[in-house]
Formats: sequence, C-alpha cells, structure tokens
Amino acid sequence: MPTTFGQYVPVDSPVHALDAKTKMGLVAAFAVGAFLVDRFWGLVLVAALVGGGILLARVPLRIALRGVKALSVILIFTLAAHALRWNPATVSLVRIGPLAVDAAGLRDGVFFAARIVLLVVGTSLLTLTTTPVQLTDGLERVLRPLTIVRFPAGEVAMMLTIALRFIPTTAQEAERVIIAQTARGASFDSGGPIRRARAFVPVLVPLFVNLFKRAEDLAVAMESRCYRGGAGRTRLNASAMTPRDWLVLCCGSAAVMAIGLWL
Amino acid sequence: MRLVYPGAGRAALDGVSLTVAPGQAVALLGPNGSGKSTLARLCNGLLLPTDGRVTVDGMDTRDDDRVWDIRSRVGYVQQNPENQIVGTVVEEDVAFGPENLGIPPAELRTRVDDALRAVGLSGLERREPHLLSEGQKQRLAIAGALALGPGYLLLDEPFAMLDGVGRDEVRAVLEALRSRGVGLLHITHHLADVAEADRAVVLREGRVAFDGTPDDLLGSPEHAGELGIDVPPEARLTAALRGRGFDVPPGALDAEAILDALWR
Ligand SMILES: Nc1ncnc2c1ncn2[C@@H]1O[C@H](COP(=O)(O)OP(=O)(O)O)[C@@H](O)[C@H]1O
Ligand SMILES: [Mg+2]
Repeated sequence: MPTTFGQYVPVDSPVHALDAKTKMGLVAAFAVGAFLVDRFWGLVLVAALVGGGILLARVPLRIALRGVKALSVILIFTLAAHALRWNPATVSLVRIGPLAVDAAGLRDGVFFAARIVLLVVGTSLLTLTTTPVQLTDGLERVLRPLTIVRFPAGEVAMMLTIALRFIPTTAQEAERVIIAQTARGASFDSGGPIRRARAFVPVLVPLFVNLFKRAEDLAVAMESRCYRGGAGRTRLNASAMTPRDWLVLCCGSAAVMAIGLWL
Repeated sequence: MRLVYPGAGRAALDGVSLTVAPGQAVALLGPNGSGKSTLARLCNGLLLPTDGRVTVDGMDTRDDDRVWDIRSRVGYVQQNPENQIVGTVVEEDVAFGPENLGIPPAELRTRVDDALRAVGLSGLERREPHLLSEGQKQRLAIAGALALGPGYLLLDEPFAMLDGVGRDEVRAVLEALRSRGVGLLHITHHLADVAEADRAVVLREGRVAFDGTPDDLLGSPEHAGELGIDVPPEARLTAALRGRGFDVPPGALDAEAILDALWR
C-alpha cells in the first residue's frame, strides 16, 4: 500500500504482519523492561532483542537508526552529566583545568546513553512496521476501556483518521499554491529566516480558508452518512488478534520484563 | 414549506412544495443563494423546516426516531468530492455510513462491494482517495451514499468541479441508478442535465419560480431568460420538434445535435 508520508517502511515481514495492538503491547512492555535494566548484560540482551527485531522486520539499519540523530543533544548531555566533574577531590581519568572526566561516571553515562538509544530504536519499530491507519485503529481498541470514564476513544480515533485522510490532500494543495505563488514571482528559498517565513503567509492564508470550508463540508457529509459519535460503530476492517499475536505478545512481554527485573 | 435560518431576516425558502418519486429525476435550478442547497438539506433532515413538513417515504424529518432511517433513505452528494470523503482508503470510505449504523462486518463487505460495482470503482478498494481523479472521487462519494441503501439521492452540483470526462462518468452512473428506481434531486447549471430530467424546478430568492417539464422550460428561451436561465435559441426548435412527435432527444441543444437526430 503506498504511503506518502510518515515513517512506515512498506515491506512484508513477520513483524509487519503482527496486529497493531500486539506491537503496541510489546513496545509498552519493552519500554518498561529496558528502563528497569541496570546491568551491563541486561543491556546487551536488550540490544540483541532490538537487533533481532530490526532483522525480522526487514527494516534497513540506516532507517531504523534515523531517530538516533535527533537525539544527539540529549545523548551528549547525558554523557556529560554523568562523566564530567568540577574540581573533584579524587583522581580522574582526564583533567582539563578544573574540569575532569570521571571513570565510573563515564561508564554510567555510556550505559544510560546506550539505554536511551535502544529505547528509541526499539519503540520506533512500531511506527516503522505499522501504517498510521492501523495505528489509529489499534489505538481506538486499546483506549476503548477508557470510555467507562467518559474518555471519547472513538471520537479521538475518528479525529486522527480524518487528520490522516486530509494530510496528503492539504500537502497537495500547499504544493499547488506554492507553485502558483512562485509563478507570480514569490520566492521561498532566498533571504533570511524571517523573510522566508513571511513568504509563506500568502500560502497559509488560502490553505486555512480552504481547510475551514473542507471542515464544514465534511461535517455535513458525515452527518448525512449517519455519523453519531463512536458508540455503536462497527468496522469493515476490524483487525483481530490471532493466536499467534497473543503468543508473541505474551512471550515477548514476559521476556523483556524478565530481563528488566533480573538484569 | 418555509425555512428561516436563525438570525436571518428573510426566509431562505418560502412556500416551496416539491415531490420526488422513485426513479424520477428532478432538476433544480436557480442563481447562487436562491436556496437550492437549503432545500436539499431539508430533504434528509440536516435542516428542519420552520413551517410545514418534509416527509421521506412517509417519515417526517422532525421525528427523532426516524432520523437515521431518513438519512439512509436519502443520500446527499455535494459539490466538492474531496471534502466529503472520510476514509483513508476507498473501501473504508464507502463503509463509513453503514459502519455508523452498526452493520455487522460481513454485511459491510457485501455493501461495499455492491456500491463500488455500481459506480464502476471495483478494483480500487485499497486506493487512497487523494490519488483518484476528480470523477473517480465523485463516484466514490456516490458509492458512500449508496452503501446506505438509499431510495433517493440529493445531488448538489455534483459536476461543478469535474472536467468533461469526469462529468460523463458520473452522469452514466446517475443514469443507471435512476433506471434502477432511485429518485434524483439534481441541482445543476447544465442544461443537458435539465433536458434529461423528468421535471425542472427553478428557485428564485427562496420561491419556486418555475415548475414544469424540461421541454416547457427549454422550449421558451424568453421565459427561461426571465428566470435567469440562459437557454440557446436552438432549444426552442428542439422543443417544437419534440412537440410534433419527432424523435429528437431533449438534450440536443445545438444545430448539429438536432440535425443528427433528424437524419437518423
Ligand atoms: N447556515 C446558514 N445560515 C444562515 N444563512 C444561510 C446558511 N446557509 C445558507 N444561508 C442563506 O440562505 C440562502 C440560500 O442559500 P443556499 O441554499 O446555499 O443557496 P444556493 O445553494 O442556491 O446557492 C442564502 O441567502 C444564504 O446566504
Ligand atoms: Mg448551493
């Protein structure tokens, strides 16, 4: 299925074939498990799990690691916060004036940084192997118990679906307006940041006017087609968890939790 | 029947009375702001009349218990196809209406398949709507209404955003539905659609200014002109020929088409 946005990697793999709810459960268990790990060998096992997941999912390593780049600031900060000491009394690894690198601290820093990387790469497997639509449907099912406390799970899922539906349309429209404005002499890639931002005002205004018109039409269309909120709706493609899904979910969660608790 | 929008001084519709029979096509014309869309929205209970009554197969649109029956019986297709598509892929959009009614999944599948077949979109079930042509999008919107099993369709300028090809595609679908007994209230500015209809109604400032056969309307260009409708002079010839029993289709509105029909 062609998806023109988002992170989804459209290949066939056993991970892609899992139900979105299974993967959401696994990711939640994985996040807790990885957070609880506090020994070196635990981290190695978690790394092995993540690596195995990437291989199984047939996601290119480059794409799987794409999220790490965005983390660089946090990683550097984590390392520095653990490793650097100001004027320490004890002997340090390296010392530059009052600033010293502490050996134990450095080990901690590397450990925590590695854990963050594994957490992010591991959880990103969910969005890499699940389409936004499957995610939304899964989310609705997972949130449904909250309707007891009046949380509008169906409505939230509907909002997300509509957002997903109109993102490509709005992107197409933005492109059209930009081309039209460029043809009339507007420039979107010259000048400083403020000037460039200002160039987008004539793009955003018609875009928003159109979005309001769309919202109005869409509301009429939904009402005409008997929409009355999430309660009582059925789904054409209600995804169901297979016995295999349950098996993977139970064994997988048990494994990561065990690693987290004992290592 | 009369309708005044809250806070508006003038009634958007006043003294309007209209019936659409199953299998009948009624063309609704009138300048912008004359109340055409308002009339359409009264027919499926999106709006309720200030005075008077609107009934669908005997059900009053004021009856709260019948709202969903009425909206299922009367489909509403708007001008801009893009804005009425809810689903992220074709089949899910078609399923949206019946899903709202809580139809079981197995029946949803047959309804979706039937509706897509009726508009000629079978095979595109998993296509994303923004990748469809405008004509395909409008047919998808029609399929979305059909999946609810309607007896009537309200068509609010469904051709306005389409090119010639898209228009022909949609027109063919509508013609097929009409022959299957679906009643059409077709808001349009195209005289060809008016000519093909069983009946033509012209609204002006919320009142019915004309109600009669397409031949009556198209046959007297002066009268139509007074109603704000630009009819080519050839239309009068077509109407006259038809009146004398010649086999000229009502949609033949230029010399060439009339000659073609006469030669045959
Ligand atoms: N939601 C509304 N609230 C108030 N007035 C409206 C609303 N919608 C339409 N109108 C007014 O009602 C009249 C008829 O509008 P409409 O039915 O949209 O006409 P048409 O479809 O023939 O162009 C217009 O004068 C319009 O301004
Ligand atoms: Mg209108």
